[in-house]
Amino acid sequence: MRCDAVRQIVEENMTKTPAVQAHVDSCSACKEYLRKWAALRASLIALRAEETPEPSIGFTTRLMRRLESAPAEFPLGYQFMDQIAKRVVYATLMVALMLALLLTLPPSGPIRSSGISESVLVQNQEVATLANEEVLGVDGVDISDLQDSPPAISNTEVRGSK
Amino acid sequence: MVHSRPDPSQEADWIKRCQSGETEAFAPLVDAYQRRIFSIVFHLVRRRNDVEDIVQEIFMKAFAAIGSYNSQSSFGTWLNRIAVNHCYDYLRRQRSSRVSYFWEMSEEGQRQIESHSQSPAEGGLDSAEKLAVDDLAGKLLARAPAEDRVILTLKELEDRSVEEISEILGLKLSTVKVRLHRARKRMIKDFEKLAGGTVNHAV
Repeated sequence: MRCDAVRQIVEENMTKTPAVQAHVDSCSACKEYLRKWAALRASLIALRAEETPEPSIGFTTRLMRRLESAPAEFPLGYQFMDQIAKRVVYATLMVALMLALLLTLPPSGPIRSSGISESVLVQNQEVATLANEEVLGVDGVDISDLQDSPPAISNTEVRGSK
Repeated sequence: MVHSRPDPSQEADWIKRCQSGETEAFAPLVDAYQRRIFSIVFHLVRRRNDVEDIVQEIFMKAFAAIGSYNSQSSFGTWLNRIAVNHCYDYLRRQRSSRVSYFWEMSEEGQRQIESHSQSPAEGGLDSAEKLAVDDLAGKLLARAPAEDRVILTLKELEDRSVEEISEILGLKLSTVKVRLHRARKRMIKDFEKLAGGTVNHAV
């Protein structure tokens, strides 16, 4: 038998089976360990004899008064508050933090110049160009009027449509 | 340790009333269990002057959490679990402090320990040597990590069975046994260190 197993068996039951006894008899380390534990255990048990303090007179009354006067401190829904409401508060804080970040970030930069927003801008520009071309083609606007037209409409395109 | 237990059906009624928000129904539960909780707290914390405040906090916590009590374990065990967890947190906060040694005990406690030490000596210890070992046990408990102190106190001072300890701490039986063995080993190691030559020789 292993020393540790023997020690655990004796500690738990404070009795020795023949096999355990044989090990203890032949193992001076286990003998010493168990002798020390027996003395320590006896002294721990002796501490049981210490006089336990008694509740002072009116203990329950004082406690009940405290419970009644402080319902907000320990409400019945304490468990709910502890487990659910905290999570709601944390989630709200996270959302508020994200909103604050979005509002305080500069209008340009890696977040604002994402691929999607850029492509939308380019698409809008192209739509505007095509619309202008169509308008010019139908109405036959004079080329001199186009000198002041937006830079998106090139001169060659205008000539071609004409 | 003998504690009078209230009638189970009466107790169940008090608990139900508390759960439905009737604060007054908590008073008989406090009356029924306060001595038991005083005993656990005193054995775990061993600070005579702090016991009453700690017990009050435990009952406040219990009242606040009574809605979550579902009768899976007895109300006493559930309350003990709250008490032990509360004391465990307290001990961790007070880790550096020292608890009541022999000279800090009440006169009655000292007398009881002295008479215990004067009883026929065990393992070849004379009364003076045994008194030194008894005194040392309090010191060793004070020095022990909170986890060891809780489990050893429940077993050796509160005289709880391994099954009860497993219920109170919410641990498997095998885990309780392993933790007890580890705590004892550490205590013996500390005992050898703290006792030095004199008590080592006595034991």
